[in-house]
Amino acid sequence: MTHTVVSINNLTCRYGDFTAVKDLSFEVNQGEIFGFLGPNGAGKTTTLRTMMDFIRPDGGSIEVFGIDTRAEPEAIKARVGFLSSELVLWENWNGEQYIRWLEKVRHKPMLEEAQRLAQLLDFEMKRSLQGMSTGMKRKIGVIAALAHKPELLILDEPSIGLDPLMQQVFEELMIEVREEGRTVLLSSHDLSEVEAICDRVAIIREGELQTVENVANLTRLAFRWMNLTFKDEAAPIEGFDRINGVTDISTENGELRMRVSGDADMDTLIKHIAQYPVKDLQFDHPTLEEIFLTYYGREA
Amino acid sequence: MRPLFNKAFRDYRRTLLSLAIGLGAYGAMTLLLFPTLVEQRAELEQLLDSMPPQFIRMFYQGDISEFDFTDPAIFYHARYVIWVLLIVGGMLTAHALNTIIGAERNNMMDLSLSLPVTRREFLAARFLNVAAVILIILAVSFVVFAIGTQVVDEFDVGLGELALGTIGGFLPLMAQASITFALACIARSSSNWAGPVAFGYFFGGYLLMAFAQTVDLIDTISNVFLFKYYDASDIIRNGVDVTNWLVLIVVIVVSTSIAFWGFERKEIGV
Repeated sequence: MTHTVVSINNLTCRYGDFTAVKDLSFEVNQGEIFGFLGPNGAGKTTTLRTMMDFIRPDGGSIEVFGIDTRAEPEAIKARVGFLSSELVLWENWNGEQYIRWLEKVRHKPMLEEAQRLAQLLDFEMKRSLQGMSTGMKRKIGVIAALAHKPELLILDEPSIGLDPLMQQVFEELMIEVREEGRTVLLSSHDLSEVEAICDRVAIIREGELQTVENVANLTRLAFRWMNLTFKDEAAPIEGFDRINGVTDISTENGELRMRVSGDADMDTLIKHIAQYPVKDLQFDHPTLEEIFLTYYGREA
Repeated sequence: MRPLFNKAFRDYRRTLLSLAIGLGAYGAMTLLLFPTLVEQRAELEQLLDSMPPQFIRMFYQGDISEFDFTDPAIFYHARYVIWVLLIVGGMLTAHALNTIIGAERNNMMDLSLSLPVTRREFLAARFLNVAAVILIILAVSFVVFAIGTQVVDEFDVGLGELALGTIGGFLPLMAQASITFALACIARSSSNWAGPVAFGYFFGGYLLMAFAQTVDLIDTISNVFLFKYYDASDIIRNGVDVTNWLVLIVVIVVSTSIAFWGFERKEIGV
């Protein structure tokens, strides 16, 4: 049976007259990596900060591990690893001192796990945090969030500043967390990262939820690229462009390429194609980025 | 809460050390001046008599009819304690603002509040840190002037009276810090009014007190300023004025309660 770790119910957050999050609802299940996608200002960080009880909802509620975030935030935070999008560190310490201090606050041993993570992320624990690059600070942020082995990781733009090699290590760490039955909720702009590791994604736009979908389903169902090769010369674009749900038609090297939406008039399309001698037909699934842009009404 | 307090205290220790050394050295130098003042008492009185009382009020905020610079208690208050109040009070005001609004603006508070600590624990650690800083500064001041009573014959003050007069400074400093915490906790981090109000109240209060005995209106207004309720020289000579201490304790309790109430409801970083 699927166990719900995070349950967001009709969440609404306002900053004065501006509504940052409108009636948002979705759930995150145990043992999944859940991606939270949206451009700047979409409401991702507001949602995550509400989850951490930094800000309070104007409507609705959030439950983490079945506990209302307003009722017992400390009980939730004891089981959560959090990484802020704009991480700032106490620079008068080194990484080891920071982790030792966290051990005292969390009453949990962390140093051994932190040293393992530091080795994987190529981070020097005894180096002063002062003057470190954004990427290096990000690494100690990731280490601090993971080292107490939390049941839930809430990560706001976790891989900002990490080089491609470290991004790969980070993705492997997230997969390791999932394999241990723990849960990850991450917001990201890096769609390739989300596509590579997330099981499900929520897409948010101007504070409103657009969809919550399995990543595999999302890339399969949203739309497809149809590539047609004909025995003779390519079929004319005319005719295809009048079919409902068929757009972005182009020809190149005798191949006809078109975008076919999930609700296209397939019967008319197939009958129209059948008028021509077809040599080959292929479907390409869109990338997550193309789907993401579709939700924002832009050309993919 | 102990790790939070240790962290806050550790972060402030260099400032505290500099402050303690600086004020201790200033106290020692001030003490060395005192025998000269006593020696030149006649000339000094002549000089002071030639000055308008309003001018003297700028430097001494007690009863001007009792003003005698060669009185050790008045000398201690006018030449040392008032500067400790202004310098330490100003620094603690900045520190309290930075601890709350500054930490919200630079996202440092996210780091602390993402940990399993209550907001009450977070703020209590900050209050305790401020209290510890004040006590250490006052302890250094006491030690310097206690040594002074043994070294400088003219500085004839009983150790008990000196201790009481010095420790009395805890209340106005803690009251100023509590008021600043209260303002910082109820203000949004995006607003800019808490700092000017806190600094304005403190330094404006000091400046207005300078005119309090000469302008009736200001004398009435001066009741709302902290400087009205603490005079180390008065404590040393006449003992503790319980009413003054009660007023300051009430200010501390009320502003601390507002700070905790406000911080519990605060939208962090908004």
